[in-house]
Amino acid sequence: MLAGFFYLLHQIFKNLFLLTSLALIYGLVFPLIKKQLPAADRILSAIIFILAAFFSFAFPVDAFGYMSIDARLIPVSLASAFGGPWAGLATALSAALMELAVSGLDGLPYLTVYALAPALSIVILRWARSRSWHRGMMYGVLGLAMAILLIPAGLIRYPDLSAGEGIVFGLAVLLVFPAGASLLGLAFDIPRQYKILSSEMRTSRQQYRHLFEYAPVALWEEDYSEAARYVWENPELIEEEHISAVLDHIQEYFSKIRIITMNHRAVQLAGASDKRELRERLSETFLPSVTANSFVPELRALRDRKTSSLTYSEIQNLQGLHQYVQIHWNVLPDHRDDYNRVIVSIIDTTEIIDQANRLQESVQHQEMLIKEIHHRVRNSLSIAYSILGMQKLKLDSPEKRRIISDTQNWIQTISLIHTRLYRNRTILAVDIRNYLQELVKMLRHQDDGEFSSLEVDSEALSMHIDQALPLGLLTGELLSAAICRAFGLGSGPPASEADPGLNGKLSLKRGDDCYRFTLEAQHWAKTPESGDEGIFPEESLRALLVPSLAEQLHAEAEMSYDAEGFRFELRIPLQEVEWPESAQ
Amino acid sequence: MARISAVIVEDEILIRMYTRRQLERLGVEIVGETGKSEEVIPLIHNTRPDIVFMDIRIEGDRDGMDLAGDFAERMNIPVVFVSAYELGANELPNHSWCLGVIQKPLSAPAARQILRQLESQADA
Repeated sequence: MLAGFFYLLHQIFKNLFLLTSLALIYGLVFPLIKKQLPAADRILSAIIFILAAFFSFAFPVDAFGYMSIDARLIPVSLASAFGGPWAGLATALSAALMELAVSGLDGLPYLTVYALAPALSIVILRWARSRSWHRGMMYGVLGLAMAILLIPAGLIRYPDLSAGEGIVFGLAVLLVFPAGASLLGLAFDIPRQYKILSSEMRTSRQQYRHLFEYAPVALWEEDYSEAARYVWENPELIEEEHISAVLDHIQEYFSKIRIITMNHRAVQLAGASDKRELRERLSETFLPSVTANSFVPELRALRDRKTSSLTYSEIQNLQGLHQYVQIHWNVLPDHRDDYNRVIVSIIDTTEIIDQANRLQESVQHQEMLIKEIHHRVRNSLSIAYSILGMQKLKLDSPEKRRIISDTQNWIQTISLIHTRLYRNRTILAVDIRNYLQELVKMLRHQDDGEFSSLEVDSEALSMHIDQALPLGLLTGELLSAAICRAFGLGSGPPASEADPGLNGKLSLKRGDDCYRFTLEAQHWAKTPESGDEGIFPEESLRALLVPSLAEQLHAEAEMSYDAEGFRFELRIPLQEVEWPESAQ
Repeated sequence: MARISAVIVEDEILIRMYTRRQLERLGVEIVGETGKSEEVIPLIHNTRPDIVFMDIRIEGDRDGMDLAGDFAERMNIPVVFVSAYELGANELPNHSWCLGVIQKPLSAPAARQILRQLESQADA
């Protein structure tokens, strides 16, 4: 029994050896012939499988002394799988003839099996392929189907078998056929798989090359293995204190980078006629003081074993054109240890930078124009102020002089807004703290009197000119009124140390829903006007202006006063101002 | 102390007139005035003032700062700039002859302050 098993195994291996040899021939010779004669594909397949069948018939698997398991069905089914229905039928026919020749009429039961085998194989294979089965499993099932076909035929051929022998026969067939079919099928399949893979690889390589060559970005394929070793062996060179020495001798580092190829756009960008010229004249594109610096991120990336880096540089192409470029350096995935395939992409940013520069120039020009306009407005207001000033010098009446002074204050208040606007380089926003400080400084230096102290307590706020100007005019009116009230009309004496004179406090804070403006003045009743206990006479222009300006601000105003001083409070609705970026 | 003599450089005639009145009220003797850049250097040479009130943007090829750099150091004449531009401290020449910048038009307190500054420099 055991000897029978080993004999069976021996027979199987003999058949395997033969069929594997045939598979190799199929894999190596067949593609060559097929390449020359594409139409001969199926005929050649059929011939090869006839040969396979022939050799396998010479070694039927003799299970016992008188009983053989007919392994020829395996080549028949595989011929169907690889060569198609005609190859399967041809192989089945030759197997049937051989069976008749060898076994005479005893082999008749197998003839039916041979006739059915190709059709059954084709049906099973189509079904398995439509379900994307693994090939080993597909051929195993094919073998199993052949075994199920063969068992009844074998039992008919050997009617004298005992029950035990029948079971052994059945088990042997069920074991030998699926295993044999799987192994042989895979062996036959290897050349086909190889062919598919190599074809896919070739296509993929061609696509990569095409993409590389015609990419709209300049690409260089380079070998950095030697450069990387140079950096790893001399890491101290990349330290801050030595880097300038490396850059001075950048050609030494550069000589260690091997250029494999570059694409069409790289040649175009460099202004070269072809790749050869670019290779030969590459060093001419370097700008001595600039280009070397662009290697620093790359050197550091190599030192830190990084696989990408980005830098910006300037080069000069072979036509003498100055170019700004963005350089991206990236190691290909399979070469992250040896750095022998690096893709360097170079993007020409000259146009973008030129546009940015033109835009910058345009912005500067606009700023200059705005500044000029503000200057002209200020100058014109200065002329008006000067005319009024000369008029004032000719007047003797303190009341008339005061009227002129008030007018001059209005002019100065408006003029100061233009100064703040052009200092901040904005069109609509005013730094209100600065404006109020300047305004107070200007008003307290009037000819006719001075505050001994006026504190400005304001947050740094931006205020829209629509609010800043009425607020400035209102502040001017109130301060002038206080000065007038304190010193009387005409030339009042400046406050001395012994007499604190007029003191005040101006505050502007931003609340949740409004700006809170407060102006307080004390010690104002130094020289009270006869019969006037208010801040300003009821019939005066000031009495009209102050509420009107508050109304323009849409503000709520509160005013209180006594013999010692007054308090004025405004709640001005918030009006947001966006600061332009250039002013930040 | 003798009266302070001054030259006014200002191309806007009305502003120049007003500046002149203001300074004269404060006892300053105006020895010359002009609004043209090419006339500035000869005028300074001829009049040798104690101080020059100089507008920055004036008619002609050169501006006030440029002109001041030409004579102030060499002739030891202090200059105060009077401008419609508001200039920061870092925009002014960093020299002892530069007394600062005053906003146009020249107000009496500002003029008084400059004259006090000039007198204290002369005393020193």
